[in-house]
Amino acid sequence: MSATVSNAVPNPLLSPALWRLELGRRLHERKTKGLALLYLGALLAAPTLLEKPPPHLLAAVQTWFGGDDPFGLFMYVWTDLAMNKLAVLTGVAMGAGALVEERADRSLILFMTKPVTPAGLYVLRVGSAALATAGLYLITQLIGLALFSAQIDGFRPLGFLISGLVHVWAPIFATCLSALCAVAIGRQLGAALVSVLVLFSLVGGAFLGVYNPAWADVLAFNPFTQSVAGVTHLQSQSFGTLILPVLGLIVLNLTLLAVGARLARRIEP
Amino acid sequence: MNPIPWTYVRAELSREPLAALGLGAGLFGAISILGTIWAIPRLPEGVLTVLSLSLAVEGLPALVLVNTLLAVWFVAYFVGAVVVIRAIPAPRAENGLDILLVKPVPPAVFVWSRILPALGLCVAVGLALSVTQVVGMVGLFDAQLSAAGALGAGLTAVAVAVAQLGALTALTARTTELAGALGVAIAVFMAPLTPTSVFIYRPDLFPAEGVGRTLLVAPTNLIVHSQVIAWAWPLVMLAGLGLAALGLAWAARRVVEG
Amino acid sequence: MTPILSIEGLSKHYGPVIALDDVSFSVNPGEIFGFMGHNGAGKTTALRVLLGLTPPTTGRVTVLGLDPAQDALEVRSQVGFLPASYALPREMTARSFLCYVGAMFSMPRDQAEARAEALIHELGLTSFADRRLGGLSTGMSQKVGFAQALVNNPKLLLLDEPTSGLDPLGRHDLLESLRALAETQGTTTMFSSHILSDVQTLCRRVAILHRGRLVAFGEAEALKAEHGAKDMDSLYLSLARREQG
Repeated sequence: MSATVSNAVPNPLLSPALWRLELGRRLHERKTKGLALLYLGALLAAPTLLEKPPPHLLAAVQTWFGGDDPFGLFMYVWTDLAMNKLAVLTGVAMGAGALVEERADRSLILFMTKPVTPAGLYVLRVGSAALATAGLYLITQLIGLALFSAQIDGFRPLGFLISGLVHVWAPIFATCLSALCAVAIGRQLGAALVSVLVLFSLVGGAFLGVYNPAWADVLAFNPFTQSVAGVTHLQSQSFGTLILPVLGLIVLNLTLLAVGARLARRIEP
Repeated sequence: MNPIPWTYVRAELSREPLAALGLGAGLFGAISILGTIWAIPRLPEGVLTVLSLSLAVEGLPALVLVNTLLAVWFVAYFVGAVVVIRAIPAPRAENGLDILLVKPVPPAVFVWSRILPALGLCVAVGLALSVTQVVGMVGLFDAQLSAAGALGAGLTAVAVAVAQLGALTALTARTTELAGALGVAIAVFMAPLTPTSVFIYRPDLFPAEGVGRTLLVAPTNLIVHSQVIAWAWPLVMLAGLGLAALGLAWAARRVVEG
Repeated sequence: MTPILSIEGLSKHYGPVIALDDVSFSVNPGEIFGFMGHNGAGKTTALRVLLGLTPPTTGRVTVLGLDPAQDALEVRSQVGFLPASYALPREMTARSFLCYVGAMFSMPRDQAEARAEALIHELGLTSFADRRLGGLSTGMSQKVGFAQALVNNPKLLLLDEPTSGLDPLGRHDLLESLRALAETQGTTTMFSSHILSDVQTLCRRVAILHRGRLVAFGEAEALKAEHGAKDMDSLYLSLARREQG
């Protein structure tokens, strides 16, 4: 049952204190700490993996992304091997329990009987999960900026940062999609299974349009393809080539959030 | 020793909606496999060369199979993993496990009754997808890669998935959070694929030639040895079930102490 | 006196199951009102309707002059609720949880922290206020549960089986806290319970549900006299037997 928002009741979603506490809650969760370790592992492993790339891969990456510096290979590996996979893990861990995990452990009733609608509670939970996801990702990028500048030949800090600012929308998308699955399916495990299958499939196709340009138009609908625009346009990163993918991903994520919030009204404590 | 409470065992075995779960996952896997079989031959020649070199496989059939095997393995493992997590970590997370564990059912019977459906589902879905990939690849097989070899490779991947489910059961026997159990499930799946990721980018770290070069590179190793696997897969399946049994035995010891 | 809560002809059906059947009663401001009935009698369903968590099938409900079906958020902003079955978020501490609940009522950070501190002090949570809620005993958890119901200084408290699972000392403390709240702050409490001795200790007026129907409503003493019962147990048993018989 939906509750109408009365003018007399302040909307808690507008409370900075609530968002601060909610975000603090997310960051202190064990799963967030586990994810932080995985991101740290990626930071440490990437330079070793790229110390001596095989010539066929180097040549291929130069063909696909243009240019002849090793930075293209680094960005490809960093995004495809590390951050795309971590985006899926982060999304499923952060999003697949939205409201349904609390319903299962019987804590949801305490929150649902406060002056907030189920849709509002959903936005709070998923919004904070998306913020924590973005925080994890961007901190990793900043640490990477410092680490890789010293370790990777031909490392371009600006190109790395810009790519990250586009790709950060991938784990946010994974979070919003997993959360939507949670309220649509009604169980955390079912949502996690569907999310893992769908997200890994999308990740698998992220660079397919680069491998085979004939498919690029069709595959452009894959959110992960849009999120790697900073890598696929590495030699021509510009406002024009990156703003559309970012805008598209923002609209997509807001849409998923809105649909999820609508479905959240069916969740009873 | 207490007699095995067969009524309880039968109730546990029929607890999960296995048919629906298997059908959904199987459909998804079949679409992925057939899509892969359709797509890979249509990639540009240069891309096929890079993929072949990266995964150390020769010829288009092997390249297609290395990708479809990943789909078989992935779907068979995760559909089983969901049942494993629902069996022990989920009720523990929802504070509902103690009420089950205090009943006069030996822990080993409890764990086996709850996990056997997961192993069965994994094998059933894996078998269906292995057959799907062989049927989908008819016309692609050559002298180096036979249909029997492809089927054996698929079932060997399923055997590995079965062993992984045993490990997952043991590792999550005391997990109190669903998200934690999911994280372990993903880590268990990714662990045997780590050498593959390293091989793609640092082949210089592996022996230059011989059996050792791709021994740890999954699922390339299944294709390289597909002629042996074509007849040896039942043995590998038995080994997988044996490893799973070890995992379940360990889980039975841990589940009551938790 | 205008009732703070009134229920007229309330029915609630879940498909063929009739959870509440034509129930009517009212609660006056400042009183501790006993809401009795066996497990499954419909008490929790009635409380869910009062909080706007589920709409009535038929009937009219007013809480603090508001219709919970229409103004659920306004009702919840003025009501404190302790459910019968719940779990506290295990990764939080009592202090952070109470601050969080304060923020859900749109309190600024310092106000939420001050309110949490006051409740920790008043309800004797000090010794475990900074421990993870997942590791607390049943009694400690119930104290925190009670504290979260008081964060917004509610005019009306709805307590669903608040003494279930508590040891005698815990029960005594909770009942004393309720009495003190009513006396010092005039807080109205609707005390839902199947532990009849607790109701007898606290409540002057009661409503008794049996299988979704109201079988008695009024002054406890008058009801006992009317049915020739020496205490609440015998009153309840006599009413239940009459209904079954």
